[in-house]
Amino acid sequence: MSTLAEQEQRWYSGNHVGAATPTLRAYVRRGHMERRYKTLPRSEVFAFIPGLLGPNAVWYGEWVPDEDYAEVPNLLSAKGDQDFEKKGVESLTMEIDNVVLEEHTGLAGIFHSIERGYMAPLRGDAGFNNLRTGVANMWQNVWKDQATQIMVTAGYGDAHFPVFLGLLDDADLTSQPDRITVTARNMGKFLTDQHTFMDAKHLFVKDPITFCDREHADELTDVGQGAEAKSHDGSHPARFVLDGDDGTTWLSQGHDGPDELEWIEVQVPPSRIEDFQLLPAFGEMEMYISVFATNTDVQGGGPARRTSGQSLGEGWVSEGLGNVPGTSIPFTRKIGTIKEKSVRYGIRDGGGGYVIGDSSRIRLWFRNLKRIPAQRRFVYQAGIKTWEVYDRDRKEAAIKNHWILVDDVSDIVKVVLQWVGMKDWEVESVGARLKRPISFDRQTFLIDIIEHIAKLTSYIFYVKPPESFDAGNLSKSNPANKALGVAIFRQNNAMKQTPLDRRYLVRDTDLLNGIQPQFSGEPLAQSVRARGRRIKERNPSVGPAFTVRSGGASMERYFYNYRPVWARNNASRAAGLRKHAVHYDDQITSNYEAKVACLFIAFREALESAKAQIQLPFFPPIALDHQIGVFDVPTATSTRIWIASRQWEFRSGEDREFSMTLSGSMIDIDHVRETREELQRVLNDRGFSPAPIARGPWTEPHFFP
Amino acid sequence: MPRTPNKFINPKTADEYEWPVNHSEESETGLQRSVSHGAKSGNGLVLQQADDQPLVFKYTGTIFHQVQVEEMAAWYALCRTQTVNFVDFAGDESEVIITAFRPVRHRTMRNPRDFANAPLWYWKYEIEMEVVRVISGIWAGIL
Repeated sequence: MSTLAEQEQRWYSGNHVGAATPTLRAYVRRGHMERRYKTLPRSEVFAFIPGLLGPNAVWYGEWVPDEDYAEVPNLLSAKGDQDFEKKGVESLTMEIDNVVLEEHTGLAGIFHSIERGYMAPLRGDAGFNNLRTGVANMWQNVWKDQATQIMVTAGYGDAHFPVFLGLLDDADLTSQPDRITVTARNMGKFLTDQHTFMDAKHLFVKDPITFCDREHADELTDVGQGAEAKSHDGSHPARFVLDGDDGTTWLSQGHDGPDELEWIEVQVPPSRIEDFQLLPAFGEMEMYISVFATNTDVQGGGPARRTSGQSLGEGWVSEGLGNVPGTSIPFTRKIGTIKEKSVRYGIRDGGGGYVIGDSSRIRLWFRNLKRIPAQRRFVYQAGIKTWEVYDRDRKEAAIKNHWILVDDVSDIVKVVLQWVGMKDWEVESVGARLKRPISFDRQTFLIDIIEHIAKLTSYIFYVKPPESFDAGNLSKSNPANKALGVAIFRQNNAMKQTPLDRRYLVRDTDLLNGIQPQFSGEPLAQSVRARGRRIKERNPSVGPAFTVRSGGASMERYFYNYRPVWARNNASRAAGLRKHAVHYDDQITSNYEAKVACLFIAFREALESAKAQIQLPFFPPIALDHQIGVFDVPTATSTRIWIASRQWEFRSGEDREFSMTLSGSMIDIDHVRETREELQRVLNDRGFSPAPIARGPWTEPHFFP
Repeated sequence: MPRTPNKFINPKTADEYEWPVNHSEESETGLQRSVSHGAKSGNGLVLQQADDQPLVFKYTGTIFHQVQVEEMAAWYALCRTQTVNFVDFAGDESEVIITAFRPVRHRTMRNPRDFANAPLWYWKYEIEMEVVRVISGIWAGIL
């Protein structure tokens, strides 16, 4: 069996003869999808559904093969086609000679019978008047059943790479010549062909299904009371932190140095506490959080516990992080430097929280106190303006309607992929949370859910075949052949200077025909404007709410006007043509988001304006969303192409052909590159490119009826 | 030296048929490897090896007996559903499918060999056999 390096060397050589002869094989078997609850480890749980089994019980699809793989004989040709216009699902067309020489042993040795229609699905059926067209064999119904799974492997010398795994769509039979033409789509078919209905989604969540951010699914109630502090300066007592007035402040007594330890605490009734909102008087203080739990009247009964269900016992909660310096009291979280603005802080390191009883206490410790002028000298003090400690109560609607609660927006994609049995994926975290719940009814296909998230985040989605296939063991129980493919959901590689996928460089000497670059000014707007949600703001001196007018044109919406690089640098190249692109989107709720939207639009226009197509010998590792470097002297092209479309073709017989056509955008052209760099800068400013998001363990198994 | 006739064998039933008259001429026979040359936009060509072209026996000869024509036509018809074995005068045996049998009549003053059934004519024929498996001969083990 060759290695990847050997396959690369054979491909690059251009001499696909002898040991490097192009090879393609196909295998078929039938199977079905089973769906049930499955208990998974925490690392594989991406959503929580209140009111149902949980937290580790996940609704899960699993592909079950019903028979061993069988190799398809007489493969004449195969063609694959995949691009983002087709929702990232690859289609396959295969032509098979429907005549087989079946071996027999006669009186004088071995001979072969010529079996026309050997693989015809109705062979052996007693149709009209009990007249049978041949004897039924293992191919009966194979090219008729929707359950037929097709695996295609290809390579140079040996068929090293899986290039397609999917399910049968159609089979057309012809005679003279006797051929079967099969069309299939990859396992993404479970996304494109299934509605959000019945057990294609979670069976016990009735449609319309709703995805909601985990934090927005709770009602928050400020329950902090009875504030006490280690000290105060005489005129700023601890109770000021709970009065809801930013104008009042608790201030500790003054110290001679910044490293004195101060603390303030509040009591809470029986509550589920995961976070609190803090507006300090000073920034840059070091803060420790401690929790004293009681077992009195704990919600749901039993002792105080973590939200993961683990019992705590009465007393100061220890998470194994150590004690607050200079004390014997453990802390649950440390924040090295707090900001001088209102911030929501999680109460527990790593996420989650506590379900604690009556008169439990939450204490904040402070060091690195602020230097404050006081009566002709300086003192060091801690101070807080407001502190709200929240009891979280799951919203009634979330429990009754079994909302699907997620953290990162990409978790929605993972949940859907688990429903269709896809266990292998490359899903990048987006680093953003859902701003409001989104619902999908039974009319939507599962792919529409993923596409909706992709559109919100400007990510791409497609399904590629499994990484490997064990042709040596075709048994249905072989776990090496159970994967359904790899689902990719990520920021598109056109935006990345150094994507993780292996990149190949091809020269004009490697291409089968010349590169065909196309430059078009048609998609390029001279200005891009994004308009978001209407702005309303509270102003206590005027009234409860009124419309804020902002911007030079007195816009009532969040907005941004962007002049693309091609319009900026040399406006005369556009002949003074004024083309504008205006985008309205109610999801835009800040001027920053409007700016990001403008840049994404400009980037898309830039990609559309510089495209190219190349044809070269087929090499399966070069897939959709990859970058391929092209160096072509005749067209003076030296650029990477971001692949948006891939077609490949294999033809056997005396006129063998094994080639692929890649189409996409040239990303090293000046205006594409400059726009990408601007977009990356803007995203990196807020850490959106891309970032993992903290997620906590799931909660409330006791809510299960 | 005794004559060694060409022979058809039906492996299914062990029936055999010896040709009364062997073929007189053979066309070029052999294996050929197909290599396509894909044009490259730069230097050189991309070579892609295809499947070998099939081994085909193409013989021409003369038939004087009506029964031989009929017999060979029957063997051609048998190849609609199965392969047969062909053993030539040198003893080389192959499993073949007869893909063409084209007997053409020619007039003659007198056909003494089969005066009863073909008094005034004889046949010149072409026969083509595509080899499925070489059992013995120079290509045995290769095809």
